Amino acid sequence: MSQTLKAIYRDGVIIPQAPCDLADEEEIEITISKPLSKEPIKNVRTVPMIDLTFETKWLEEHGKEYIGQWVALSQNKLISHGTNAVEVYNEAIALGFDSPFLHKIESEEDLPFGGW
Amino acid sequence: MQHTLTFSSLFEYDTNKTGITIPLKLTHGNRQTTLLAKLDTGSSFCIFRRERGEALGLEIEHGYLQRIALADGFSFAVYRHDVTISALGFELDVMVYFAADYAFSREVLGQQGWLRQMRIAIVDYEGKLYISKYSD
Repeated sequence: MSQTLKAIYRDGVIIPQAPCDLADEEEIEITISKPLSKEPIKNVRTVPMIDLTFETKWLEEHGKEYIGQWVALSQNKLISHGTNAVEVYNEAIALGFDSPFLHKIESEEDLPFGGW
Repeated sequence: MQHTLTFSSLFEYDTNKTGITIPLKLTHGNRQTTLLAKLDTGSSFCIFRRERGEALGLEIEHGYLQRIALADGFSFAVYRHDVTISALGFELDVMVYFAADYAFSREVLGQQGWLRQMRIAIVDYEGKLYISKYSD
């Protein structure tokens, strides 16, 4: 049976922070994991909302023609496409689009999403 | 006991699509791309496809390696990198993760790096996501 308890490490010794149900001299195995530290509050800046309405509509209308490929779009215009994301992105940049919408079109794109 | 929260913005998403799809922009240095990601309150981290990181000029394996557990008991490897996320009217510099495996096909906004910096309320029936930054 396993137990989980908090401990601190000091001068080479692991010190439990709560009583543990062990006999003296009993041998145990220890797995060490660090608790997730609280993320500091970031500097969050206010910016305009990103609108991808045109890109979303293009995917609905034309996506099936490019299954398995990466596409770079700007609004409802296809800039570049292919199987290599970096090449597709670089082509869009070279054509003067500094923030292209980059998307891989999957055959099972509409499957329900399980999350984690 | 009732609780009242106020928010600075409202984002309306399409309930006909799977999940809650968020338009966002990732920036690294002078390279940036817009994309659609899923809001995933069950994901510990923000995770993106490997190729997206490569397009942004990142050397994926140069980041800190982390393994992520899946519901089926398996896990997969990701690498941590610093980027800027702009989503739903807010921009912040954060650590996100890029999948090691090219086959990984999901892109999600999760807790560390994004959700934890925001306050959100979701009325899924109406497709409404109310949002403010945490510090508001």
